[in-house]
Amino acid sequence: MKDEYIPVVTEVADIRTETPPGDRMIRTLRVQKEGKAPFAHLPGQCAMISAFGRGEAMISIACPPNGEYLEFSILLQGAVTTDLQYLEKGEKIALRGPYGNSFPVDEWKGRRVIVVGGGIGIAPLRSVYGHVVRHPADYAGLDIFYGARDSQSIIYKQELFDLLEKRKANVHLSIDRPEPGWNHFVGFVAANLTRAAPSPQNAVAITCGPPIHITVTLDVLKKLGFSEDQVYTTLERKMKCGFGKCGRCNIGEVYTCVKGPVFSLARLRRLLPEGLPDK
Amino acid sequence: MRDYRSESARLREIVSGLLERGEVELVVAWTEGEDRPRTRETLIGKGREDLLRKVVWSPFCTTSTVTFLKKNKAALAGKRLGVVVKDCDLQALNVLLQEHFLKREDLVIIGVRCDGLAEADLFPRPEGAEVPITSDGGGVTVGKQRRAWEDSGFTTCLTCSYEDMKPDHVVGEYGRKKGKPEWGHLARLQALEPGKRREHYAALFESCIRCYACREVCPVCACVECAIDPGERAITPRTAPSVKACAPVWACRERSVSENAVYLLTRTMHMAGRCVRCGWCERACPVGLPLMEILDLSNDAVRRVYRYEVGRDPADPPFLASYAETDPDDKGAGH
Amino acid sequence: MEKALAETGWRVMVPSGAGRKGGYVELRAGGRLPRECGDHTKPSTPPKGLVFPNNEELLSYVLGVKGEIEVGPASHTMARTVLYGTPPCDTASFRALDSALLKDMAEPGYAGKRGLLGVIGMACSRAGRWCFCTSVGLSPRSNIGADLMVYPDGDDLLVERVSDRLDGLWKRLEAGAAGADEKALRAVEGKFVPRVLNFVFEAEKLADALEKAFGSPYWKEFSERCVSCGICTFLCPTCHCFDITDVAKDELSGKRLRTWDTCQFPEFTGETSAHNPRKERWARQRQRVLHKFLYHPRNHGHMMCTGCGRCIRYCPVDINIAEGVMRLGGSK
Repeated sequence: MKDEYIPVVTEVADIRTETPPGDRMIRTLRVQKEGKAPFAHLPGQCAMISAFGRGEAMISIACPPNGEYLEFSILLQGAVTTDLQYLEKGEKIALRGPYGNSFPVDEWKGRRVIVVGGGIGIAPLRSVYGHVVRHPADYAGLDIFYGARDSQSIIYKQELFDLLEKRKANVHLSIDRPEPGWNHFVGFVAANLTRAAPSPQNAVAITCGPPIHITVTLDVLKKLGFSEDQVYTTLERKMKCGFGKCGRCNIGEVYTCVKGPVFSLARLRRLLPEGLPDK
Repeated sequence: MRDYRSESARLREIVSGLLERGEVELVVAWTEGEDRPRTRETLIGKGREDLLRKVVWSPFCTTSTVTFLKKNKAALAGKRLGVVVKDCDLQALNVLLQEHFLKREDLVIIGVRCDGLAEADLFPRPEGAEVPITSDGGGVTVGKQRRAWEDSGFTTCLTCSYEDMKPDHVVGEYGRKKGKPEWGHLARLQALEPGKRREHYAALFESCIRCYACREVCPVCACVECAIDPGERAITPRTAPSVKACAPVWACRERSVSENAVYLLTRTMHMAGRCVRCGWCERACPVGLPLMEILDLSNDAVRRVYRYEVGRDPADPPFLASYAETDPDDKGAGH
Repeated sequence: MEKALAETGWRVMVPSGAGRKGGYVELRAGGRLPRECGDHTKPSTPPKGLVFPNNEELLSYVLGVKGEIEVGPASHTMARTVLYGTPPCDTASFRALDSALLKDMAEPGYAGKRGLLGVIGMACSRAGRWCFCTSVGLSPRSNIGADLMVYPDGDDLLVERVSDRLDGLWKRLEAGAAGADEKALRAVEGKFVPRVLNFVFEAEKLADALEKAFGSPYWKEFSERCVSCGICTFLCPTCHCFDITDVAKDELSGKRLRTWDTCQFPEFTGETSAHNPRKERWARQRQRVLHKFLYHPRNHGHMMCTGCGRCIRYCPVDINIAEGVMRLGGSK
């Protein structure tokens, strides 16, 4: 019987520094085992990454399923992420997974996918928009709303500008305050969303970000006419075991690491109110 | 003989009066629990007749209202509070006032003169609404059941020396002569040869399950972020990652002799000059550790060697923050 | 029974007695098995520690100076063990623990040990003032969670085979025993507590009532004196929340450890970002109550509480979960 606690040792195949070094540094690690992805995953799933001696952290897999690699965009937060930020290309990293449920991308075929990400929240959403970009014929369109506090904090910048330029997606970027040289929207992501007012017709919206971002975005989507079945989010909770045993990540009777972290708004409301991110 | 029914009635009068006249917004007092004669701390506001009616004072008020204050500090901040305290509670309150943890001007202190406590669970459940609880120099009586003080489950009360702590209001008269702290158990331990002493302490430390009840119930263990395995971390969304990453882990989560010893002994050191010997830590411990035995190592030094009386006066400097030319040196400590 | 158990060579664990010291301990060679059980023989620490210890090593690691990683799996096994003489509240705890830790995906530490434990429960002859097993669907004669169930009858023992796990022992006992049947069991039943009358509440209505009471202001009142010490959950026979931390031996090696944790500690759900969905004590107490009386029943069909009363008896500030549940469940 497989011991779920034992991680697989993999190699850091590539590192992209997304934001400058400092307290809010984000790096994307590309991880492989013998040239392939260490395990298969579905968009929205996560993995427990080890920083031996410090602990583990549950981090969203930030790339669509591809068989070649896994990617994780790691924001510096505390003990574990500090250790991970010292990793260099070619070094080893241990992780276990995949954990959690996934975005129902198959159910969404034929529909327009609207992604609304704030800050590091864009990372799990990338597994979805990356999947849609790889299978354009399966979907009616892709809108990406994404913002950060300033232009230096925007991650996947090159990729997003590329998508915009090649018209593979409607990309709406924003930063919180004006900056010289920034020609896109200035303001919160939700405000940008209000301005663009995408139609809920045959669409599905997914959002992730800090609690306040999620709360405000859900409000805007409601005002735009999206029903609770058309809105999905992925939540964050402190996690230790990752497979529904240690008792801490539950929302009502459901473990976020097993029947989440992806939840439709309709489902979240049915579960007890504890599920709604606090303001 | 002390009649706690009438003392409770007098206490209720005082508490009601304070609330009626608006001298305080809230009162922290003991009320009769559902499982009499057990009592429980309750926060009572004006107009809560349902709670006022149950306000009680008896040897079964075994918890500390000062712990309630410490646990609810944020919620009660800025409010004028009445608090009912036994002698040891007032001692603990003075320690917190010395450290400016609470402000004296926010408090109206109602003292209840305590002869000692008794374990409610040793008495059968009383029948009927009115339960006569009385005590005298020899013991406690609930209805028809009497137990001597020595058999009532509270050993630290037998050696309590606190009296006349000068609260704002007083209820009751002492019915028993106070004792003095007694260190015979320490002499027995000190007489053990090092190998045997190590065995004794190792067995003790091994049994600890690190539930932290001793820390949480203690009226003076009030640090927001405990140095050892903090129950609550003092971080905000703006705390730098490096600060979180470098937080020291003095005792890891492993329940072993070494880690448990770090926790228990560090707590003892941090309690030097602050422990009031109320004994609640030992009574609460779910695995029956003789915690007073460990704490008394420090209590003995403080009282006997440095002659410092813990929590005597809120204006006193805290023990570890005071220094006198006449303090004995290491040789004088005799450990 | 002593002879048959000794022949198996298994480790036999028995209650050391009521009170706070001891817990469940190994029966010494030649020692006598307990002849009765009840609140008066129930130790403060429950038997869950036999298969779910406070410390369980999950893996060891060695890091190389060039960044190599070597992970060593842990052995989750233990000696074959029989737990003898648990009252029904402790016996039934294994049903709740098995559901939570083995269903859907097995928790490796628990799974490794659980198969090596046989439970011989004993009918209870004396309930305590905090017991309420009948309110949670059990009884002083319940055999839920037992592999064998014994009913002491003077010098005799009536033994009931409940599962096949201890069939090796059962065959040995059968060899030297007089036959017995349902009638014999009925005859002996009168010696045991028929029903426990403390904290009687109507279990069927409870889950729905608690769900409706999610936003009730009573939670604040219920938990205002709580000190978040963890006694209720550490002593609870069914509580199994755990923490996973790395224990470094030096900069390059160490182990990963699973230890008991409690939903009552503030940092239980405290994220590194400082966001904490259960920052307040009332939110944590509510979680404990709902986990036991709403979430676990919804997921597994039985309450995650066996009515043993330890949380009520040992809570240092007199918080009574049955009182809370009765208040919110509407029955009194």
